[in-house]
Amino acid sequence: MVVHTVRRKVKGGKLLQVQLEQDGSFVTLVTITGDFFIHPEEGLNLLEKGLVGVPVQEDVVRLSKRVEVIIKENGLTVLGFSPPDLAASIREALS
Amino acid sequence: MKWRLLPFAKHPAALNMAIDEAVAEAVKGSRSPATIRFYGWEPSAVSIGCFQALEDEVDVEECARRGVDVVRRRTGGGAVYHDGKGEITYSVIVPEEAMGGDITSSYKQVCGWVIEALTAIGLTSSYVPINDITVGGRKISGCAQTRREGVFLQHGTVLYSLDLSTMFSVLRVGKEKVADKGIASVQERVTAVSELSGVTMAELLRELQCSFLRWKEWYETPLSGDEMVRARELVVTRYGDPGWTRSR
Repeated sequence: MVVHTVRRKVKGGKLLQVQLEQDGSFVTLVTITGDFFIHPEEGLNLLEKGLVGVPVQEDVVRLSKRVEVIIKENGLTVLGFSPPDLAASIREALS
Repeated sequence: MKWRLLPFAKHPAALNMAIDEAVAEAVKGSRSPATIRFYGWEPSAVSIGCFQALEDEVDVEECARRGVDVVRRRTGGGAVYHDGKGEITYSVIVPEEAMGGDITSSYKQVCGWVIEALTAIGLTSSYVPINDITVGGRKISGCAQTRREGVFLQHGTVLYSLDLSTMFSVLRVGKEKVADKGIASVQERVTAVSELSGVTMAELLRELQCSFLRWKEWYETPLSGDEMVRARELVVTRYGDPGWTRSR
């Protein structure tokens, strides 16, 4: 198992830290922390769980789409980062 | 709609956050009216946002050495040092429909009440989305909002005086946080009413009460016995529980 962490301030947004655990070719655990807002707050767990199983080679466009779908399907409002911001952090962490 | 103003009171951090939740539950059940409270922290405390990693944001050992409480909020946002003598905190707890569905607009609305109070004491301030108010580019107030089960809760702080030494001893403020603001020192980001105005803390509180309650029908009454009982339960089951505080 390999652990990757990326911490960055989103431009015009909030601090976003992503910690990923990788087992082989897939992400097995996702922890997202920071000073952003998600309404409802339970949505963060849905986002983290929804990203488990992502192939470690997945490109940033697909990652962003995946995040966008989780947000839409669960009716979440996210303030402080966008799907491309989170996707870029995940991609950076896995690179 | 009639609003209730709770009398200013200071409490430990866990009880302060538990009171907000207990009142929100009572508002949800229509047992309490829309509520505005102003309060302080005794002892001084650090509150962290519900999505923050405790150890990344707070020097927990230093807090213990200085007798500073640590509590995890149910709202997002960042870590805040609540000085026991230098800060007024507010909470607005109201049925969600009264504030409208747009989250950003409602942040702006409540921050507007803080800005009115600052204007009344002679300070020109600006709302900086999402959740800050600044004077001359320096933060003087921050806030966080949640909406649960049809109840709107926004709590926030207004800095009256600064104890930067303690603030930056207990908070781990990373350089990433200000990376896009073009400011070298984090300490240059904050200011307080007492640095800019001669008003007392009591006068600031009065102006805040006036602006928050302007155009509202309201009355002042203490927290109900049931709300305090529920708040004390929530201290045990959530806000005073190390498992909650260390959950991230």
